Amino acid sequence: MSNKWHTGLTPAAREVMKKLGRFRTQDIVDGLGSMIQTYKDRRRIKKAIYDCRKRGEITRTERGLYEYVGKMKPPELQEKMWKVLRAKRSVEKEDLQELAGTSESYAYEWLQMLARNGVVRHLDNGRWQMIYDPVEMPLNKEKTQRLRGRRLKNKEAAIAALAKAMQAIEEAKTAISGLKE
Amino acid sequence: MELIKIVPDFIITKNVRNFNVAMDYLAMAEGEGRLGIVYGEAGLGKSRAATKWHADNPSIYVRACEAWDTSPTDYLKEICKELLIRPAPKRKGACFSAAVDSLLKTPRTVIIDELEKLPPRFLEITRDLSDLSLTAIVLIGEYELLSYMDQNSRVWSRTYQGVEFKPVEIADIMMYVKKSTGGRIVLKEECASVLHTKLGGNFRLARRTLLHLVQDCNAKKTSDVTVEMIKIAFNAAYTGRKNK
Repeated sequence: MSNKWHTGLTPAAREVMKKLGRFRTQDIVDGLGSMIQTYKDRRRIKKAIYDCRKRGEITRTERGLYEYVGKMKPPELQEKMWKVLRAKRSVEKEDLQELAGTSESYAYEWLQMLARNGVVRHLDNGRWQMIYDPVEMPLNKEKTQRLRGRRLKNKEAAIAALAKAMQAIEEAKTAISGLKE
Repeated sequence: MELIKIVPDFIITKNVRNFNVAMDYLAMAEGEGRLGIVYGEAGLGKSRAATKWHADNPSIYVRACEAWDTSPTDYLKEICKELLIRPAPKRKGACFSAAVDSLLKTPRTVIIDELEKLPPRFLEITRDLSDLSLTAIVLIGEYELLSYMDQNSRVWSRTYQGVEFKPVEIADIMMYVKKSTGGRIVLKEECASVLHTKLGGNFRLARRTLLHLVQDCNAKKTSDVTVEMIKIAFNAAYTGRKNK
């Protein structure tokens, strides 16, 4: 893929924005120093500021003066599903797939978790109806614990494998030095 | 023949595109109170488009209830609840201030569905909320929303964007059927035209008709849709009973 559009100016400009907090376009140009040499580069900086503003990363406090407020994290899938469920009150798996963009299995697993926590109930026609609204999204604690346990186990296995490999290297070194002698 | 399955995919119709553009425009005018309105007949996908946008963006969604018609406090309490203000203040003024403070601290777009069901003073409250919290408030409703807003010129002057949801077009229907079936069913122009006439622009009915159409195709083990199949599927979707 062509790298024509990936000049690395925006990440560099973002770093300067973070450092300055409040800034004007010229401040970014000064902050980037030798990276900005032509008028074309300067135009790219203006475009980067425009894009950042559109994304909500920066706000305009007055004409030509901007403030960096931080990169907005896109909502997670669970959060999206939670918003859809709360807005519609009764959903099908397909609604979550369509409006939140999740997979069928993940939507089903999440709805089952809510059902176990008494937030929704499964109707015979395949719909899931909200029966209790805690406003804040319930977290899937069981899954978090399960994943944490699995990660811990994997980490322990990796450490053990590493120790074994180190021991093997030591043994090999000893054997080589034995041969030399 | 392999069974045809419906792939739940959000289709960007012309209406949805207009809605997204309007929301982007509202977001650009940050730093001042502004209102947006989305109106059109029932079943054209207004609330669905709003729900999709709400899921993807930092916003709150409130559906107006007729039960609040005598009490703005209940309306404001609901907004406080969505803004995660706990416990919501008991008095109207305190609720309003809490909502303004929360929106000033963390600006979010407020989407209010079916506000036209409530008396006009609720619109005044909504306008004040937008003015003082400097957030975008989007009102969604049917055509009554326009006459509801006509009563107040100050509201119109703050309305930055108005999007009318129009009846779905033939191209939208063809794209919807094709995308939802993963390209397995491609409607001929004649079939799409018949379906479009029968639907009368209602997208909700299009979704239901497609379900019946896919069932029919699977039963007949074909992906060639005829006008007759369209008529049968539509009747089944419209009346809930097949071949009636």
